[in-house]
Amino acid sequence: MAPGRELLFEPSDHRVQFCLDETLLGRCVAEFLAEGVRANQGAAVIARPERRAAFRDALGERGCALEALIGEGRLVWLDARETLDLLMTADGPDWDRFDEKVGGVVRAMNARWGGLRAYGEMVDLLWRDGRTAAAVLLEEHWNRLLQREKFLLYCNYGLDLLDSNVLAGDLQSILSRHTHVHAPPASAALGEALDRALREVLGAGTLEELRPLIEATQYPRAVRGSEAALLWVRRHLPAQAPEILARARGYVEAGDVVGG
Amino acid sequence: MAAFTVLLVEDDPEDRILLSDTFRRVAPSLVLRCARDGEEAIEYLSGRGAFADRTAFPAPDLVLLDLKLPKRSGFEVLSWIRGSAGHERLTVIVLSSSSEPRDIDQAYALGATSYLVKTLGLKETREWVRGLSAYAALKAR
Repeated sequence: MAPGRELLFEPSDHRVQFCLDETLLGRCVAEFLAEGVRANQGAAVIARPERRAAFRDALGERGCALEALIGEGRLVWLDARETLDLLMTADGPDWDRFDEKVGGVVRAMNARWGGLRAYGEMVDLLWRDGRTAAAVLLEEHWNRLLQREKFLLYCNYGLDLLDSNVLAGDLQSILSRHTHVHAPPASAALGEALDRALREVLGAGTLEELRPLIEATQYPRAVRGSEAALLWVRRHLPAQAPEILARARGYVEAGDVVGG
Repeated sequence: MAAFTVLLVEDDPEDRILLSDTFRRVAPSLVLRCARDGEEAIEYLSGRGAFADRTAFPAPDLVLLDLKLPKRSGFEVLSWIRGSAGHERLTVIVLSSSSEPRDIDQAYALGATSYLVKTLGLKETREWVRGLSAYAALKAR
């Protein structure tokens, strides 16, 4: 089950990452932002304040000084929780408020720098708060803004794809609102781990018979490769899914799979 | 244990014949029953009218559902299935010629378990039907 991911960003990409490793996340975000800075673009970060030190260090390793970039106006840093609070109504994140606050930043940065890369984790805050529908609505607001403004967007969820408590429908709702899954190197082994677990739990012969059905199944947008196989298992084999996911997680955690 | 029953909801006679033949060849242990439009599908699932005899027309374990159907569309059938008691967990695989993201999105939003795009190739059709047979065996474990 080849992951089939491209690492180059294209205009209006809306990528998602599922990363629980703070150091790895810092490196990925810094690389994403630094590429834009080197191309003379602007950058916007909507993140938790506690991420700032890790992002500063990782940006510094790439020749970008966070405070200098902020001073120059090339990088705007917004507090994710404070910004989210400004957008929320009783019905969830409000489009007009979002467009004014976040859209305003995107338009201003685009006008000044002629291009923008944005990293955001307000959706992750909503997900962690158990407000999945609000997270999905906020993703839709981002997509609406992406249709109007050309910029690159990168989100992270601190979500374990192999957690059997994560509902397939919720996971699919998140995945289907993105154009790509941005895979950190550490999770490249996901497909291999899942394949191995499927083979052990279902039997090699059964897996080979099932594979064309799994691979023929269509999902919207970003759902491809190992993420698609994960959803298939969760949706079609609810009885076997917990064991399959637990085994796959064991292989990833033990470093028994190399992926790629 | 009762045989695993698949209800194929398909209005195109050629597609029905192709799939019936494929099921006979590569998944002979599965029982395949057909409905020709959306209303017939709902009648079958309700066990009403011509489908009242559950020996001849067993309640399906899985529905293969086309989207573009006469009388009631596949989307309407899907909504009916998810809203009717006893069918909340029924496996519904949409089988459509459409690969439009909007149709895929809508099918999942209405509760499809998964979505297949009809392929022209016999080989591919045989392979996923064989996969369905393996899936049925797993469900019976």
